[in-house]
Amino acid sequence: MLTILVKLLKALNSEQSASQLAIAISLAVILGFTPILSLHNIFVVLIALWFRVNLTLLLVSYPLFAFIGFLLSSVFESVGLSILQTQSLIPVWESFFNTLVGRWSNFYYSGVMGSFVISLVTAIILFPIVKLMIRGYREKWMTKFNQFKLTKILKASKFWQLYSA
Amino acid sequence: MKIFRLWGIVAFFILGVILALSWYFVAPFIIANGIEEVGSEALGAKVSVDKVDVALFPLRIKINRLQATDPDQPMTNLFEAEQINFAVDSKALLWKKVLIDELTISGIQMGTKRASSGELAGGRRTAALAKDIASVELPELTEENIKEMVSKADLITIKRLKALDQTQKDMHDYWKTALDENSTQERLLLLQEEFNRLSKRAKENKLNLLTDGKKWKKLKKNIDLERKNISELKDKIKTDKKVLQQQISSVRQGPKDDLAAIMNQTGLGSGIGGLSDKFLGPQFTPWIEKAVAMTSEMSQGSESGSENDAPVYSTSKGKFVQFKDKQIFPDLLINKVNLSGKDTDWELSGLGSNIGYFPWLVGKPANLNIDLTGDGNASLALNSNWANANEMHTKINTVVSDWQINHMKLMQTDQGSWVVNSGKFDSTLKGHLTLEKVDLKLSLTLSKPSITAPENLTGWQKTLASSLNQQQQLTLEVIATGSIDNPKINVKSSLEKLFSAAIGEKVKQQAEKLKGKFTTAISEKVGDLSSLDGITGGFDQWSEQLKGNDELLNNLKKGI
Repeated sequence: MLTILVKLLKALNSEQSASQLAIAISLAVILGFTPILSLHNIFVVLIALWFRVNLTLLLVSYPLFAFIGFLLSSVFESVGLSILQTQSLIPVWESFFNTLVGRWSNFYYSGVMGSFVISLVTAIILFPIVKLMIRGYREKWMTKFNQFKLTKILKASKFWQLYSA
Repeated sequence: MKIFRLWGIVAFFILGVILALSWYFVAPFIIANGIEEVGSEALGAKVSVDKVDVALFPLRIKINRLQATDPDQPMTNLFEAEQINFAVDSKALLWKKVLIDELTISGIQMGTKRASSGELAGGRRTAALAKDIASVELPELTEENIKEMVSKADLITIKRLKALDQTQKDMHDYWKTALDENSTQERLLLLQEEFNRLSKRAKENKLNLLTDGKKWKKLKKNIDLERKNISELKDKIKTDKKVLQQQISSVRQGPKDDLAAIMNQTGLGSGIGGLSDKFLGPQFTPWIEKAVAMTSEMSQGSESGSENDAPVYSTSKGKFVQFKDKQIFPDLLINKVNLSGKDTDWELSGLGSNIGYFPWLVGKPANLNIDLTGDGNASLALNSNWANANEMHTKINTVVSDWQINHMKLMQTDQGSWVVNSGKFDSTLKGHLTLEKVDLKLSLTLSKPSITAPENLTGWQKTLASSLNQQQQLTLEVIATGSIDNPKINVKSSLEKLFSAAIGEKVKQQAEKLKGKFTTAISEKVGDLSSLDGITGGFDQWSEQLKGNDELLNNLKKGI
């Protein structure tokens, strides 16, 4: 728990831009909500590694979103099924199913489709919100937060030293 | 600020290569482990694979020495194949489909010795059942038991009596309204008055017949309507009476059905037949259950709401929406299967074609023909044609003739093994199977059997053992017909006669003794049913009433 807190604080207090941190959260949502062994997650990992996304924040927030995803799995199932069974979209899904990418995407499983769509919407909504929150934190709260006793104790601890190295 | 992380992309590709390489090295173990786990679970005894070789270009899999243990004899293999060899079409694999052009299973042997025991912890389910069945004992019931059983039983007669009472009340209410004396009499009186009035006017002046023409017509029409109504009610009386009589006869039959149901609970329901079913049934039950579950899963797999919806299947990964697949071959297709194997006593050869999953996507009928030659001959011919997911027609024809049996274990009981030392075995299994109906006939004959039974048998088991060896032929015929969900299974067997000789008299006495006691207990609970005849009496009265009204109207009509 303490390790996670230290990682989080370090990421927030780092010199990385708010966008880099916000995108990490957005990618963690997709990784966490959808089944990890899915084709689209290879692209998510590729984006995370290729672009300067904050990997620490992504790895720290992934378990949280995976847990939320587990709780919401029945919602994903029903949303996915409705999307896949929407009459007007059936020709689209049918064409997609008959492409190689479509075949390996597993999007014709209601759970994968539902979780992907919900995670994508959540990621898009979360990106500006998280960005604003980080900026707000850095402008208004960071200096005050660093004065807190708990923060000082943490910064003096071995954990902090370990993660600063 | 740079937005790309060069080491990230390098790391990604290195990770990908490492994963692909590890899969290549681990794949043979995963395949071998999968075969062993699934096979052992299905067979109830150890299934093992010596080695799996995977070649990548072209993708070819070779399974070396597959052994499946005989669940009843853990030191012996039921089946052994020296090599299973097949190439997988890589293009089809890209579409997540396994297309095998030719599957060769060579070096098939049966009954080979194992180096180590192939017993699974927990043992085989059917073996445990055989044990239970052989130790079946006749029920000893006291008078208290009988009364308790009857008082606890949910008697069919009482249910039928309640239904009869309800029907009777409903009918009574209906007829009370339909034949309401006041309103009927009122209508008839009005018609009669009108008739009298018009007749009087006609007598006074014949020209009134012309002026009252329309009124006469109206009167005639009303009389016709009333008579039509009476005629319909007469028909309904007949139908209602029939329904009530059927219910009464069903109530009368109730105590007999109750007796049969309760006797069935004791295992004495159908006498020897009941015990024979107990003896023969459970060994087949798990397999029949599996077959029925599989076929119903196939036929009822689709959960889609309308015809336009893509079908939805429940899978272990969640709900799978099956869109129209333009890659028109099934997920697994084996174009050709070659089987070969021999032992000192026999030689096996087999050919199969168009075996696929889902079978309705294959487009051609699946065939499997296996021939076994040795002391006798055996052959299996299977043809399964799937027009679509909901329409299947399978023909099966299996014949085993003149096969010499030597030292074959028949069953294992607490007292020891029952072994067929020698005998000639003949068998046929013929028939048709669809997703709705089954029509199969299995005949098994063991001629001149020499059976060794455990030494320390007593009672009916001892009598049975000696009877078995005195038989020229032991026969068993099983006919399964009717709906696939609830097939009618008819078992005829010479074993039944042997049972009869061994324990028949005891069963008969016991059954007769209990039957009387059960009948008395049921009568006490159900009450007197002799008054049921009077129930239909009301119909005669209602019929008479309708007849009287109809005659009156008919006379009026004649007058017109």
